[in-house]
Amino acid sequence: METRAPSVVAVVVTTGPAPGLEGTLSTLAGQDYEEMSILVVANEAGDEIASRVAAVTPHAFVKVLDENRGFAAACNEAAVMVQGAAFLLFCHDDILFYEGAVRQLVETAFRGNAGIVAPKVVAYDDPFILLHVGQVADRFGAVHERVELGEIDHGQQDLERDVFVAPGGATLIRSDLFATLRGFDPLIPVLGEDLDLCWRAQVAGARIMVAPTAVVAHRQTVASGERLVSAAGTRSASRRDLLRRHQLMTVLTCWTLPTLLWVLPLFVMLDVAEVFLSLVGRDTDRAGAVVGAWRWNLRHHQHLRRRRKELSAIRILSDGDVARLQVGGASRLKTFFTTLFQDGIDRARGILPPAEAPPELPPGETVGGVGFASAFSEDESFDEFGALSAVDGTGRPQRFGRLFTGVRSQLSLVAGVIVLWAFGARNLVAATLPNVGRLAPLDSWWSTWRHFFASWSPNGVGTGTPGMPGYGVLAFAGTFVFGRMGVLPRVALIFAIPFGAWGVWRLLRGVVSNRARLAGTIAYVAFPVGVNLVARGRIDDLVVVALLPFAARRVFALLNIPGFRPVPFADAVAFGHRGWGATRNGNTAVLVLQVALMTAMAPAALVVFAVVIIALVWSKWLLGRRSGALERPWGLLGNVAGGVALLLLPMTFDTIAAGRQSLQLFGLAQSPSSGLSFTELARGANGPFGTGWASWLLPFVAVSAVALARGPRRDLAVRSGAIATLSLLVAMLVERHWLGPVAPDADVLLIAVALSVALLAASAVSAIENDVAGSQFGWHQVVVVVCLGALFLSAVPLFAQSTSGRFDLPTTGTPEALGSIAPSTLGGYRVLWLGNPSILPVAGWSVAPGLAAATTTDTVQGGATLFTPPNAGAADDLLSAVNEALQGRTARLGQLLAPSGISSIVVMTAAAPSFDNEQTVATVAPPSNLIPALHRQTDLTLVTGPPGFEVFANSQFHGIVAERTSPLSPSTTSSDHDSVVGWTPSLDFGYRTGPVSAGTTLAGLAPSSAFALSVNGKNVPRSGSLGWAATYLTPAGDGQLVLHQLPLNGVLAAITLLLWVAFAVGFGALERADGLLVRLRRRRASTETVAVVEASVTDEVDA
Amino acid sequence: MSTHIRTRSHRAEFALAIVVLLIFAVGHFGYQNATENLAEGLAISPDAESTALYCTGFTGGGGATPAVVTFVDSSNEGHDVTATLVSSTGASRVVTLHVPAHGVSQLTPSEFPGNGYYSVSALVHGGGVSASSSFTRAATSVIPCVGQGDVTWYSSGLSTHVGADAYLTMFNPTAGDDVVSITALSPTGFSAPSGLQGLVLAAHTTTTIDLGASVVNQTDIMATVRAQRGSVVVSALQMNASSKTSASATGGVISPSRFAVFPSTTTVDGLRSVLAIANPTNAPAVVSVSVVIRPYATQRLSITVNALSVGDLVVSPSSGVPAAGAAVLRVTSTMPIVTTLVTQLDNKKNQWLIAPALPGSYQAIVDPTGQGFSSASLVNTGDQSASVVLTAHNFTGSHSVTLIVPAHDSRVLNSDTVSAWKAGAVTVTTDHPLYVSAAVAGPYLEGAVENGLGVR
Repeated sequence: METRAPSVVAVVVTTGPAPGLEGTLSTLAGQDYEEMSILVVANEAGDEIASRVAAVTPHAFVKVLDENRGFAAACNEAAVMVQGAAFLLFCHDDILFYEGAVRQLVETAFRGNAGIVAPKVVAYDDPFILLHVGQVADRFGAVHERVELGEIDHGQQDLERDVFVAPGGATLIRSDLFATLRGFDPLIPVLGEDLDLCWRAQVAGARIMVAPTAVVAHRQTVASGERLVSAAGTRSASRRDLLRRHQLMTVLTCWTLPTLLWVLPLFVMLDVAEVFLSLVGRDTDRAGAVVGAWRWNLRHHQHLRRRRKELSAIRILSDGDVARLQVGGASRLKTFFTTLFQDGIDRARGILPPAEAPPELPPGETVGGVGFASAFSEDESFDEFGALSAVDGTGRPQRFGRLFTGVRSQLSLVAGVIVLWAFGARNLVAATLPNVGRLAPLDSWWSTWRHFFASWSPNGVGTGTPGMPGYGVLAFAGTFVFGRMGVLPRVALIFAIPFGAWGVWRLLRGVVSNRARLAGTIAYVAFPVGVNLVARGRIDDLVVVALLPFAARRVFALLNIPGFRPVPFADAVAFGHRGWGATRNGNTAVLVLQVALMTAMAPAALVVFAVVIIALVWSKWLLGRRSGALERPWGLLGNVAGGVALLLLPMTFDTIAAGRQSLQLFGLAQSPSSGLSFTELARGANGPFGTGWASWLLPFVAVSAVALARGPRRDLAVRSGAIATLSLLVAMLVERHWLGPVAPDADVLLIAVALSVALLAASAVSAIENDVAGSQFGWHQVVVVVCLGALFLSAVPLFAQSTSGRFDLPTTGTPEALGSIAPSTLGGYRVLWLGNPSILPVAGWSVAPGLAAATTTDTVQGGATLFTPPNAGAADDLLSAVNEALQGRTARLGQLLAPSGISSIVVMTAAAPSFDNEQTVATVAPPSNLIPALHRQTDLTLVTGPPGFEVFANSQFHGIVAERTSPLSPSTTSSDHDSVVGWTPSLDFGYRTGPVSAGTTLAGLAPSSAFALSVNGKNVPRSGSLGWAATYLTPAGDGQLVLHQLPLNGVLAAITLLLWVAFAVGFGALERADGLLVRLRRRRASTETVAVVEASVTDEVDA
Repeated sequence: MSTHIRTRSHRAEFALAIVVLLIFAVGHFGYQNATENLAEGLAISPDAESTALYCTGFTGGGGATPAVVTFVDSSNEGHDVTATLVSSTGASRVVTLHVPAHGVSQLTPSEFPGNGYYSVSALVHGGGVSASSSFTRAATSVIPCVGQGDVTWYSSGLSTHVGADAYLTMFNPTAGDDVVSITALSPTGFSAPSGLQGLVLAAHTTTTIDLGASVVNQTDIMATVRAQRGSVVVSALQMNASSKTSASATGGVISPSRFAVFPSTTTVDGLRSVLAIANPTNAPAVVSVSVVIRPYATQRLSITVNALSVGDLVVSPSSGVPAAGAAVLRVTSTMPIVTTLVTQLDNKKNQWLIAPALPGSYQAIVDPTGQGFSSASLVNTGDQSASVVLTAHNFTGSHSVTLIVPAHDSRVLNSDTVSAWKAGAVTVTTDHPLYVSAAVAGPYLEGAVENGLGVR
C-alpha cells in the first residue's frame, strides 16, 4: 500500500566505541513509522562499525568519516547525502526511542506546523526521571531546563507547547528548513549546536515545539563525562570552554546590531562579575572559560560576520518577537543568587561539592537534641525561620533558641552585615579623602615605580638609601587599577576589613560550624581595631588587617595544628613545576609572599608573625602532650624571616645599614604618658571607637571561650588566647616604653589581638554548641547566656560607627588646613612635622619616646615620603637639634634647622584639626615639654594654626638652596651664628635651576656627594659643609643642581623584582605558559582544519 | 575491673588567667606610676648648645630704676654672652661680654643709654649661666632673669593709691607678635580694663603699662597677664610717686599655688612685713602661715580670703612673732592663691616686693651690691634631710661650706657665716631640692631679699 506519510531520514551520528549504538539502532528499527530510513554517520570509526550496524539494522546506510569533526559536521554531511526527505531526525548514538516516538514527532510537526520538534527525554536508567521537555533560553544565550533536576514524570509535562531550544540527542527538523539555515554551524561541533540552530530557526520564522508523547531515553555519555569530547577543534577545550564560546557566538550572531548594542555591555558586565567571583573563589578554569570565549570569538570575527550576513538574509522575526519567546532577565544571575541563598557562597561560586546526605541517626534520636543545648545544635540544615513560623498549641513559636543554624538565616545575617558595612562606607566611595594617617595623595603610577627604583629620596634632608618596597607594592597594585593610584586608598579603606573577615571565614573552615565561623567573622569586623584604622587613615596597617587571617591559616596548616590541614600536603614536586604550590614548600612560599606583602606596607607585621609562632609554641606547653607536636615552628619562623628578607631586599639593606636605628623599622618608641593604656589595648581602642562599655563585650566573649571550651575547641581557644595574650603583652610593653627602642607598632600588634578575639568568639559559639550541651545546669549556662548576649550586643556599636558614612574618618586633614604655610620663595622649603608617631601624616624617625619627626619637601603633602628607611642618615642632625630644644639645651632651634631648609615646624596634637560641630578628633599630645621648649626658642615665631596644631615659623629660614657672597668656612657648624648670616634663597623652586651669583651656594640636600651644581653648563667644585650639606663656589651664571649618582638602588630593586618573579616561576608559571602555548598551537591547527571543513560544507550546501 | 576517671587539666586556663592578670596588674598600676621618660628640660644645662636669659623692668643710668644685670657662670668653662638691650622706646643695643668659669660678669646702668624701660635678651653661647637684675638706687630689689617667657603671670601687693605708681613691664622674647591681656583683682573686685585687653607686643620689644591709668586708686592689687599668643616676660614695678628713688620690683609667679615659702622674712623693729594675698578662685581660701624663728615658738597665723578677693596678713610687727631677725614663712592654703611678701619701712618710703622662693638642687645667690649678705636661709620641706654644699666664687679666696638641713626644717646662716661673701656669687648644691634666699646687706635692715637662681 502506498503511504502518504512524509519521509524521515534518521541520521545517527556515532563517535568512537559508541557503547549505545546497538540500542539506538534497534529501537529506531522498531518504530512503527514506515517511511523512515536510517543513515549512520560514523565519526573516526573503525571498519567494525559497518558490521555492528548491519547486525542490528541491515538496511541502514553507513557513512564513515575519516576524522571526528563533531556532531554538527556529521549532520551537515548527512544532509548533503540525503535527497527528497521531508524530515531529518538527528540522533546521538546513546538514545533509546520508545514506541511510536518518531510518529509522534512527525504528527506534532504537522499539527503545529513546527520546523523543529523535540521529544520528551527521560533518563536512560529510569524512565520516570525527566531530563528534558524542551528548553528555554535568555537573551544572553543561557539555556535553562523546563524541568527540575531529578523531576519525576507524572505526566505533568505532557502538553505540546512551544519551546526555545530543542535539546540535542534526538531532534526532528524539516529538511528544507535545515537547508535554509545552511545546517549546523561547523564551528560548533558539539555542546551548544542545538541552541544555535534553534535560535536561527526562530529568527527564520520557524516554530519549535516539544512533543511529550514522543519519548526517548538519553544516556548522556558526553554530559556525564562517560565519553570525552574529542571532535576536531575541541581537543584543548573543556566542556565549559565549548559551552561558553558557543553561547557567545550564538548571541553575537542572532541579535541585530541595535539590540546587540545594549545586550553586549550587559553580557560583558555579567562576564566580568563572573570572572571576579571565579578568581576570588580560585576557580581559574571558569574564569579562563569566560575570558577564552571572548578570545575565541574575536579570533573568528570573520566567520561571525559571515553568519550575521547569512542570517540577516533569512530573518523573518524581529528581535522583539524573538525576545518574547525567551525568558526574561539573566538566568546566570538568577542561578547564582538562587544557589547563594540555598547553598551558600561557596556553592554559588561553584567550588564546593554538593553537600553530603546527613548520616542516619539511631532510632528515636533527633537531629537537634532536646533542652537548652539543642538551641545550639550544629545541624545547619535546620531552618529556624521555618521553625519560627511553626507554632505549638499555645501559639508560641517552637524551638525559638536555634538561631542562625540555617543557611538562609546565616546568609541573611551576612547580607545584613554587608549592607551595614556598605552603608557605613558610603562616603568613602567618592568623597575627597583627607590627608591623615597614610592617606597622603599617592604620586602617579610611574612616579611610584620611580620611588621604588630611586637612587635618592627626599626623606629627612634626603637619603641615598634604597627605596622602600612599599612603593613597589603600591605601584604593582596600581597596575590593576590602570594607574589610577587614587583608587588604592579607597579600596583599602572600604574592602580591607571585609576581605580580612572573609579570611577569618576561610581560616575557620572545617574547624568549627558555619554559625561559629559567622560569629568569628563578624567579631573580626566588630572589634574596634580595624574600624579605628580606617578612621585614622592607616592604609598600611589595613593591608595587614586584610591579609593576616590568610597568613594565619597558612601558619596553622604548616605547623600541623589539628583541623587546619584538612588534606595532607602534596608529595614533593620540583620547584618550578605545576603542583609545587600544594607541597609543603609551596605553602611555605605562599606564606612568605603573604608576610612579605604585609611587611612591605607595615614592617611590624614581621614581628606579629614571630609573636604568633612564639604564642603557638607557648600554647603547646599550656596544652600539654595531647595537643600534638608542632611541625618545625622555629624552622618556619626562620624560613619566613629569611624569605621576607630576600623578597624585600632594599628594606633589608636599609635595615642592616641603619645599625642601632634599625629597630625603628618596626615602629617608633612611645611615651608612657601618651601611649595606650592596658584597658584601651585590651578593647582595641586605638582610635575613636571602642571607648564605651560595649567594647568590653568581645573581650568578655573571648575570655568565656577559654572557660567554656572542651576538646578541640579548647585547643583552639587556648592557642588564640595565647596569641592575644602575647600580642597584648608586647603592645603594653611598647606603649609603656619598657622595651626601650624595641617598639613594634602597637596598631599592628592589635590586629593580631583582633584576629585572636575573632577566633575566640568562634570558639565560644562552638563550645556552646558542643560542650555545654550535655552539661547540667550550673555556671556554664550562666556564662553562656551572658556570653551570647554579649556576642549579639557586640555588633551594636557597628551601627553607631556607620552613621558618618566614613567611619569617622576626618573630612579635613592636617596639610589641607596648613596650605598657607608654604613660602613662595626660591630655593625650596621643608616642613618639619613633630608629634606622636601614631598621628604623623608622614613616616619619620623617633626623637624621644612619644615624639617623632618627619619632613616633607617643597610641599605639605607626604606622597613621596609615605615610607621611610630606618636610618635617618643626615637627618640625625635635625633630630638632634629638636632633641636639644626638647631638653632645654638650645634657644636657637631655628638656626640649627636653617641649613635643612626648614621653614615651618608643625606640632601635631591630633591627627587632624578639630572644628566645632564638624569634626572632632581625639588629642594625642606630644611630650609636655615640647611646646614650651619651642616657645623658648628666640628664632621661632608662633603663627596661626588650625585647632589642635601649633605652627612655628623659622625666622632663620633661607631655603634649601641658598647663596651668599662670602664663603662658608669648612669648620663652621650649624651652632655658629655665621652659618645663618647673609644667605638668600637661590635656584628655582622644585626644579633647582636658575641664576646664581658669584659667591657660595649652599645646598641642604644629603648626601652631598649625590648632587652636582653646574653653572653655565660646567660643574663647579663642591665641598662638604655643616657635616652633611654641600657648598659650591660659583661664578655668576645659570645654575642647575642635578642628581648625580650611580643607579645602584635601581639594580637592587630590579634584583628584588626578579626574585618575586622567580617565586612566581616556582609555582609552575613557566609550565603554565608553556601549556598555554601548546594549546594555542593546537587551537590554531584545529581552526585551520575547521575552516577547510566549513568551506567544503558551505560549498556542498550551496550546491 | 578498675574504673579510670579522666580529669581534665586546667593548666592552660590557670596559666592564661595568671598571665592576663599579671599583665593587667602591671599594666594598670605601672601606668599609674609611670614617669615621663623624658628630660624635663633643664633650665640652664651646663652642656647646652645655647641658652637665653630675659630680664625686664629697669631703666638706664638716668632713670628712676637703674639696675645692674649680673651673669653667673656656674660651669667649668667661660661663655660668651650676646646681650640685646631693648628699650620700651624702640631703641636697642647689642653688648657682648664674657663670663668666666665660676665667675660673674655685669651689665651696668651706663650701658643702658636713653630713656624708657629696658629689657635684656641675652643669648648665652653654651649653658650653665644664670642672671639676675638688681636695682642699684635706694632700696635694692633683685629679680631673677628667666630662661623663657610665660603664658600667665601673677603678682599681688601692687598699689595705685594716691602717691604711688605701679607699672608692668613686658618683654616679648619670641620671634613673633604676642597678644596679651591684663586683668586686675583689687578690694573692689575683678576688673579687665578694656584698654589692656588684646595688647599686641611686637617681636623682641619692651612695653610698659601704667596700671594706675586703668585701676585707679586701689591698694592690694593682683595683676594678671595672660598671653593669648606667644609668651611674655613680665616684671612689676611699684614706686612712690613722691620719690622716684623709692621703688621695688618683683618677678611675680606663673601660677597660683596652695603652698609658698618665704625663707628670709625680716621681723626686726622698724620694718613691716605683710603678706599680700589674692584669691583668684571662685571659693574662699583659708590661708595659714607658720612663722619659724629659732629658737622661738610662734603661733600660726591665718586669714580667710574670699573668692575673687584680696587680703593682707601682717607678719611683723605682730604680738605672736618676736622681732628677732629672719624668719621662715610657710604658707598653705585651701585654694590656689597668689602671695607676695611686702616689706616696708615704717615711714613707707622704701619697700620691697618679694615673690615666693622656688625649690632647686642647683641654685646661686649673687651679691648685687658688693656689700655682701646679712643672712641666708635654707628651707627643706621634703621628707629627707638634705646635704648642702655652699661654694663661693669670685671672692678673695674660695669658701666652701657643707651642712645638713634636716627634713621639714630650715637653717638660717647668720652674718658671721655669710658676711664674707661679697662681690661674687654663691652656688648652693644639694642632693634634695631646697628653698634658698639671702638678705642683702644694706642700710635698711635686711629688707631686700634675693631668692636663689636656678643655675642648671
